Amino acid sequence: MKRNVAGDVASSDSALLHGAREGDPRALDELVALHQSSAFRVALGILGGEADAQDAAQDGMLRALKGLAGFRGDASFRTWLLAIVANEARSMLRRRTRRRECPLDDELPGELPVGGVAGRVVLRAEVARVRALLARLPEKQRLAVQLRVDEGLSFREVGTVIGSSEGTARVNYHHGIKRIRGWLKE
Amino acid sequence: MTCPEIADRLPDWASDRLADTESALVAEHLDGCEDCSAQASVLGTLFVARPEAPAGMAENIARAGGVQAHSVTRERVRPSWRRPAWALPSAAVLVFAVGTTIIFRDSQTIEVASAIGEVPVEESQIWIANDGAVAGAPVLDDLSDEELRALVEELGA
Repeated sequence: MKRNVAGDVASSDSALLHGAREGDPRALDELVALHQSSAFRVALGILGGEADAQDAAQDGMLRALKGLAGFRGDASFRTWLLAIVANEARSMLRRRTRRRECPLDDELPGELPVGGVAGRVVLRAEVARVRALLARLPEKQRLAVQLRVDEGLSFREVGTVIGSSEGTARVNYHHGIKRIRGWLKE
Repeated sequence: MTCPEIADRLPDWASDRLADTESALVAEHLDGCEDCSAQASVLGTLFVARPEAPAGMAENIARAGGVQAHSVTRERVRPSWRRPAWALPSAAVLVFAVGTTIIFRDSQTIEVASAIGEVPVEESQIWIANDGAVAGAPVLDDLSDEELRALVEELGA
């Protein structure tokens, strides 16, 4: 069956938002369950470390849920939420005196395993390599690719989260993909 | 569709978010376009490998939200100071005392000033709010003609 993630999520959000504003704790729980992975990925894309990303995602989601009254509906709830999480992650990043530099080249699997290796292992290695390459992109390109591919946001929504125009979001996305493909060919 | 148009749609195609008709158009293009096909492969790999939230994150949020909401509620219901039972009567007495002091201070100042002739004082300035009855001003309205005549004679004397 064809998934219509964006439409399904928007529809769920609408009902859940109504419940959450009425003070229904189950609606709040469902909103968290529905968006926690997206929030985590956005924070991870900015901060790079899982522990920090989890903290930022949690703080950002809490801030958003406490400020539901301030959600005017100009953007979708998910876009609004992810923008808050992204701001939270950026604030955390600024608070650091110096971002931990990752020796990304050392983390990257070099050549893909060949010959005699189970296909599943090959796929896993390739997957890890592509995600590691994504982490090497500059922040705006990285977030544009993540938000477009992982979350299915439109370029306009991507722009809202990363703080740019729709056109700039599109350019960042395409540059990011081009660079990843270039690295894969090296 | 052209390659740039396909490229814009590939993330949705790779993550199975496109409607069937549009998905078929993209698939048809990919069959004949090696470059777009390679890009679709990268996007598919990215999507499959997207990380999920760590276990327990939702519970942490619910716990933190509950604790904080509770503390906010406590702060709201707990006043920073308690108003004792005697506060209201005390406040009334204080207001009365201060008001009386002001009235007497002003009237005395005016009387003294008038006595030494330094400040010209008009009759309307003597009583606060121009209401003589408030601070015990002499009320002549209730006096009979006979009593008034006696008073005038007395003052004249």
